[in-house]
Amino acid sequence: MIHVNGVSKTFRGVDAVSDVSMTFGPGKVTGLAGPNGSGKTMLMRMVAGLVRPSSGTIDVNGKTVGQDIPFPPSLGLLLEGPTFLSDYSGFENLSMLASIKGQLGADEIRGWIERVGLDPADKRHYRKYSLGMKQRLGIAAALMETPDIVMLDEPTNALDSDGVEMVRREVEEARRHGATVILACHDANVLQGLSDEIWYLAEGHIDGYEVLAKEVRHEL
Amino acid sequence: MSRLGAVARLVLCDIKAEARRTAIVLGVSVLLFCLLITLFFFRTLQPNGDFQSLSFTDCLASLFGGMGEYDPRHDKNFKIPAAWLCVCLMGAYVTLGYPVRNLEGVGVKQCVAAQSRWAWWFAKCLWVVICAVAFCLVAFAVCLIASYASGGTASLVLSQFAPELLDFFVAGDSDALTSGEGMPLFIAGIPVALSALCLAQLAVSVNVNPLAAFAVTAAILFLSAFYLNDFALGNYLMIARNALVIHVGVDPAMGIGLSVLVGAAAVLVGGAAFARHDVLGKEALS
Repeated sequence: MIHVNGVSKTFRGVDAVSDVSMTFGPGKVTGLAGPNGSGKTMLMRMVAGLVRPSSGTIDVNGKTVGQDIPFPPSLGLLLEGPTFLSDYSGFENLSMLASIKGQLGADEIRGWIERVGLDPADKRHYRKYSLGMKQRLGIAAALMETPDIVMLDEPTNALDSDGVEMVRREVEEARRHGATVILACHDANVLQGLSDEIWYLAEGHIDGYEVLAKEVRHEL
Repeated sequence: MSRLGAVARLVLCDIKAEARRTAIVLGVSVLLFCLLITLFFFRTLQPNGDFQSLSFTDCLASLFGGMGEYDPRHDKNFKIPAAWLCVCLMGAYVTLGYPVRNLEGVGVKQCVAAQSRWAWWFAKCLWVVICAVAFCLVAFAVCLIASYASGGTASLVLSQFAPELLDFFVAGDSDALTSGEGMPLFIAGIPVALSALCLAQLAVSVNVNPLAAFAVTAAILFLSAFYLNDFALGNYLMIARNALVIHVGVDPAMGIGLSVLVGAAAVLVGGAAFARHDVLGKEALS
């Protein structure tokens, strides 16, 4: 369970996030909606432990991020579009990342590359990938270690309809596994179709909250 | 996963990730070393048309010679030791860009995967030291090859003609001109001092920005050239400022000690700052 308790972030004199409190639960997809600059990405960065709140705390399973733990344990994230090493293939990039934890073998990594619609045998360097392929690889990197917390910021960016369908499938799968999924997306159909609840943000404040019934999600 | 294991894996990732770019920059460094040594070699032209053969230390002096003590009261114009400055800045440049580039990209995922900012930081410190040492080893290798190519040997003795051609003073009773004794300590001090400079640069680079970090490095080197001072790290990178060469010169043993202290301080202070640093994406920074 993730508790965001009265979190604010002032960045270069601007309140990027202001007194936000919310909860993200396991086995749930929580959507974050709002226009550009509303504070979605900053909030996600704070929950991920990358940015320290100016005030307030973020607790993950009772431990405060930035004080008790540097990062939420078992976290997979895709923020602001993926970035990998440009002179290596998708497989090499994921292998290097996976080597840090040492939990995944080569076959599992190949499996994840295939699962997001890429060819694991593709030797092309990452810099030669299209935007959509880069996005798919970023999604594979976020999900491949089956993390307990999944954060996806605009996961459907640059994806074709097959890619969007893949995102839907993988988010559903993560929910089934009991992961806490935080999803920020401009595409209202995707967000409402996948989320159990949606927090609306505007200028760093909470501007609304909506719980979506399962039937509504399935209709969308 | 132990922290040590995470650091080791991150360093391996860093070496692999940046191997190509580092090789290119080291290749450019080789060209710079060759150019400076060749220019020095041509300055040894004698009236009869012969060139002098160069010792290993002569070649090293053409890269890390630096300049003699500057005294504003007597010397009117401060003449910057351009070759030395270029070599040192090149060494600093080798380690400049990657850590921040990494942090703006895949480094975020690495930090999260390692579950430790310190693991990421220590890995970058190790990578910086490895690159700085590699840069120095490449410089030494070029000096060794150049000394044999010029008909000289791997001798650690500085030739009588070298200081005059490189525009610095050597005390007549200097060991550098006779036995070369003590020179190994100076040579060992070069990678240590350069690593310390690069670690300080890393601390500024990650916590402020790479351009500011490079400016700080350049300022330290410039000040070192201006002041002969035990605490100006750049002095330990100059043969001309060494106690082996001049009586008032800096002690290379002290240089190694000071460099280790500066390096350790940079690692600890930079790491502590990075532990509280906001890791923002390129979009937020722009």
